Parts: sequence; C-alpha cells; structure tokens
Amino acid sequence: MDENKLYINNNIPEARVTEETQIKLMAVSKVFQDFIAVDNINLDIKKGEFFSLLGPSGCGKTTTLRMIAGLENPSAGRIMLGGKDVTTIPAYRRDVNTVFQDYAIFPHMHVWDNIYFPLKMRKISRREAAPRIERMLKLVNMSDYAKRFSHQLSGGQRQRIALARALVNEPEALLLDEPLGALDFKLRIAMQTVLKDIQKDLGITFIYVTHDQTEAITMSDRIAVMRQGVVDQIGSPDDIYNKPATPFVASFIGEMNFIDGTVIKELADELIVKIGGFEVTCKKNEYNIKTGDDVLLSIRPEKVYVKPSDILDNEVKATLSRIVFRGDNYQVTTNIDSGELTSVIASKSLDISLNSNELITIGWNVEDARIFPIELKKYIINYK
Amino acid sequence: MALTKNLAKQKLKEKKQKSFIAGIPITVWLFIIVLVPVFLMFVMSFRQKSGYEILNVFTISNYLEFFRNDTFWRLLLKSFRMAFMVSISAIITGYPLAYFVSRRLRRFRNLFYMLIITPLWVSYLVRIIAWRTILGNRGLINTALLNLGIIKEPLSIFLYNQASVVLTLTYIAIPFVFIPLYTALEKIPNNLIDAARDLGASEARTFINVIFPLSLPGLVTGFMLSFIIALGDYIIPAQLGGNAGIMYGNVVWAQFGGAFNWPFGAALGFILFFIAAVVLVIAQIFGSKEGIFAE
Repeated sequence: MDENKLYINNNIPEARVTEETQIKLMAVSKVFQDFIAVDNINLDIKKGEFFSLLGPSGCGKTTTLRMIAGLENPSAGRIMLGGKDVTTIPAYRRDVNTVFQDYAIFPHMHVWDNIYFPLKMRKISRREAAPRIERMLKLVNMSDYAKRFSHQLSGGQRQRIALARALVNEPEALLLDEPLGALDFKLRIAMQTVLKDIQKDLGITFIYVTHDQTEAITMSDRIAVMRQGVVDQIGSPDDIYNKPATPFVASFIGEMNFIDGTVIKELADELIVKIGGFEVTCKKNEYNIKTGDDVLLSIRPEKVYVKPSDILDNEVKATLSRIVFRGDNYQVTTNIDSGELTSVIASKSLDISLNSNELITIGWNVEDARIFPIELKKYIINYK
Repeated sequence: MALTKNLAKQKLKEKKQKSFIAGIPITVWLFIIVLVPVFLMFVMSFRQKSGYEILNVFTISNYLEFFRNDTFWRLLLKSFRMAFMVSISAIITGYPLAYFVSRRLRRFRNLFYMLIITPLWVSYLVRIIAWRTILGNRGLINTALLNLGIIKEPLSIFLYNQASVVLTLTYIAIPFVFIPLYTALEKIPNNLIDAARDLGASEARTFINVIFPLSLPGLVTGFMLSFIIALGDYIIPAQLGGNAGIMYGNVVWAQFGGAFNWPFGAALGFILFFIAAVVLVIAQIFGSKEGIFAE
C-alpha cells in the first residue's frame, strides 16, 4: 500500500562529490581467530560520494563497514574520519551512523522514540528534537506512522525508519549494510531511487555494502569490488564494467565470456593471441604479458557480434550450438575449439535463418576484449 | 474458486477438531490436578468445625474471623512485605548474574548456567538445613568469627529472625529469577546493541535504554516466581524463623495440622490465593510491554 507512495524529489541538485577525503582506510586488516576477514585494504572515500563495497558473501565487506562504524576493531591499520584518526575511538563517539541489514529498530519504542534515540543520546530535549524528527519522518514519507511499533510496520517501512534514525543526527557519513537485501524485487528497485535521491539531496557521504552488482552499478559514484578480504578494483561503475581489473571482477559483474589462448606475437601496443585455430588481436594492458604466455581472454556477450555486416578487428568461425530467447534479447551460444562463446543480440535484429550446427562468423573489436594472465583464472566466479 | 475455498474451510475445521482432540488430555489433567482440589478447598472454606467434626453447613464465619482478628491480616501484610523483600533481593543478586552469564560469557556459558541451577537438584529440606548450619550457634559464620578472635561468645543474631528467613528464601529464589532473566537477556539481538552504540549510546546508556527495558518481561516473570515461592512458604519460617520469622503460611499450615480447623485453614488459604492472584495480574499487565519481540 504505502510502499508505492515514495519520496519524490522534484529538485535534484547536481551530485556534490568533492575532492576532499572524508574517510580513509590505511592498510586495514581484520583477523578473527584464524580467519582473515579483511586483508590490508586501502580506501579513500570522498566527501559527498556514494561509495559501494561490492562482493560475494564472506568477502569482508560488512566487516570493513563495521570497522568504519567502530563496531569492530581493526587488527592492523588506521581509519581516518574527516581528517581525524578514529581507529581507537569507540562507535558511540564516531560521527557516522549505520543502517543495519535487518534494520535493528528498537522493539520497545515506537517510531518517534526510535528516531529520537540518537538525539536523546546527545542530550537534546524532546521538544527541541521534535521538528527535526518531523522533518526526518517527512523525508522518508512516514509522517503518519510516528506512534507505530516495529512489529506493526512492513519491511520497507522499517527500512525507512532505520534510515531516518541514522540520518537525524546529520552524520558525516551514512553506512548502509545491505539495506535492501530483505525487500522484494519491486520494492528494492523503488528504494534504490529513494536512497539515491536522499543522498543527493542531503549531500552526505554514503558507504553502501551490497552483493548485488546491479544495485552497486546503478547507484554508486564509485565501487570497490572485494574478494576474500582484498579489494580487486576501485573505480566508477563504467570502469568496473568495461575495464575490469581482474577476471574475478569481470566474472562477478554482468555476463562475461572467458576463452583460453596463447600469445604468439608481440606488436607495439598489441598482442596476437591464438585461440583455437584462430589468431586474434588484443590490446596490451597493465599485466605485463609476453609472447608465449598463456592468457585468458574476456569479452562481454553484447560485444560479440554474430554474422557481422561490418568488418570487425577480430573474426572467427564458430559452430552455432544454442539460441535462447530471453525476452528483450536472444542469447546465442557458439563453439570454437578452445571453448564456448555466447553473444547477446537484441530480439528484433536476430537473423532467424540461423540453423543449429551451422558454421558462422562471429567477431569483436579489439577494445572490447581484455586479456589476463592464465593464473588468475581460478578467481572466476562460476555460478553454473 | 468456491470449491477451493470450501476445501480450505473444511481443512481448517478438521484442523480445529484435531487440535481440540489433542487438547483433551491436558484439559482433563488440569481439571483433576488443579481445578478440582481448588474447588474442594473453596467448598471447605464455607464449612464449619465443631469439636473434631467438620459440619456440612454453609457459613462465611471463617472469612469473617480473618477480618475480625487483626493477627491474621497483620501476618498476611508482614508476609507480603517479606516476600517482596525476597523478590527484590533475589533480583538484585540474580540480575547481574544473568547479565554476566548470558551476555558476557562465551565459552563457559552453559557450565555457569548449570552451576547456577544446580541447587534445584538438591532437596529443599537439605538446603534449608544447610543454611541452619551456616547461620547457627556452632555454624560457619560463628566459628569463623570465633577463630578470628572478633567475638568471644557465639552470636545468636544470625538465626531465628526475619532476616534469616528472607536470606534463605532469597537463596531458594535465585535460580527462579535467574532462568527467566537469562532467557530474556539472551534473546536480545546483538544488532540492537550495535545499533545503540552506533547511534551514540555508551555502554551504560545502552544498558539503561535498550538492554534493561528489553529484559523487563523476564524480570517480571522472575519477580512473580520468587514472590509466589516466598509468599506461600512455611517450612523455612518454621525451621529458621523462630517466633519473629513466622509467616502467613505457618498459620495456614497450623490450621490443617495441630489446630485441626480445615475450614478456617481453607478460608485463610483462599484469601492468600485471591490477593496473590490480584498482585500477579497487576504485575503481568505492568510487565508485558507491547511490541517486545513480537514478530
């Protein structure tokens, strides 16, 4: 019912990302007994930024967030908040607030008292707090629910109360621990917009923990992709998607083809790679790959063209093995000697004359593929 | 559509019938064990003793006697006061214990839990006698004080007074306070504590504003249990109370024993039963705050 009536911001200002560093993690590690949860990570989060920590479960993203909040002490390293070293400052004296995964609404207080709680801790009287609480309730569109208890609210409503409670103190940064994880799909999409609007509106730094790559990509200014306690890549959503730093990042975000190959020739800034019986050209990158090295070639399905009409940089012959209709597109799977390649083709442009086991030409452009050392293949996330 | 609806209705009906049948044994059991004796006692309280006979008459003279003779209601008041003191002291001792074991201990939590409830495995009488040997003239305290040279003669102030009764009843009540408090405290989700700290509450303020209010249902249950135990007890006052420590329970017990006045004993018992029930209902209303862990 009320989920549909969402906060609408008519007057969205430009994002206020600045160059000023708000939160800095320097060589931070966290060890639990014999398990390394976070392994020597460095982060530099800018003021006003929507920064996401993205990774599969158990990658250390929540632990990192809890260390910033002060709920967990780092085993090594330093944490700076607004230029001050807060490594040893307890959570209750840090100027950051958290929206917890299951909201952690106090069950013995109604909504109004829940939002008053952080103000009460700052010895602000109820009367003084009232207008601020009113404003927060309005911000999250929950003004009519001030006297409700947690168990009388839906998941989405609890989520918004948790948000209001964390924001009422106007913290330097808001930490969000998978806040949309427990909501159903449609509500999650709607809440993404709400969160993003509020963040832009208030200009507060958001640090957002999620395992949902779509969520991270659509909402963030920058994303840190984490794997087993380390940060594999920090960059804009565009960088993360189009220039993944590792096969792990490449496989974790979106769909990706991986093909084994061997470098047979080195040119000025290109490499000739042999995949199956074909020779293709690849761009050199930060990995120092030499002639004779085994490599892993990665390319997004939407960048692999089937029966291209234009001349592409790389073209190979492949056997068509499968076409899957997926609504707005078709997924076309083809086989070459050294593996499978899938392509995604918009539904309306699929050439329906394709027959199974037909030998067809597929191709891609040099800048759309990336190569990695073969040793990194083990980090590919395979959900199959 | 209508068919499935009917089917669902029938299923629900069957389910209701099933749960009704399943409920029969417990109802019969409750009826025999609890309701019938209480009812028989209620009937008894309106009869009359004459010599060594209980007459089959209906009279409210037993109840009138309670109000006419101030000994009884004064004793009842005193017993309430003592039971209240027992509950309060059991909570003062039991709360920190329950808090420490449920929220601070990790490895030895179960061991401590077992140790604290171990006294429940020992006979009630044995534990009372144990306190006599601690408090008595040749008891632990006196022997220790004598050996230390603090006193020359054994002190008799430890035994046969109200304090010794309250002390021993408190000891008896601690496990009954500890168990519900432990359960309530252990149930508090850690993320609420994290949220409180995150929102600016120090450890002390987290306790006052979050942990304590959320432990209230356990506190009330513990209070009620220890209150009932203390209010109705007659063995501890008889063993350790002397004249000063006598409680209402002793008088009720005496009516069924030496005085052989069952109707009057039943009336006295029923008065206690009624007042205690009122007190407990009030405590229940006060203690069951809406919203706590309701999912």
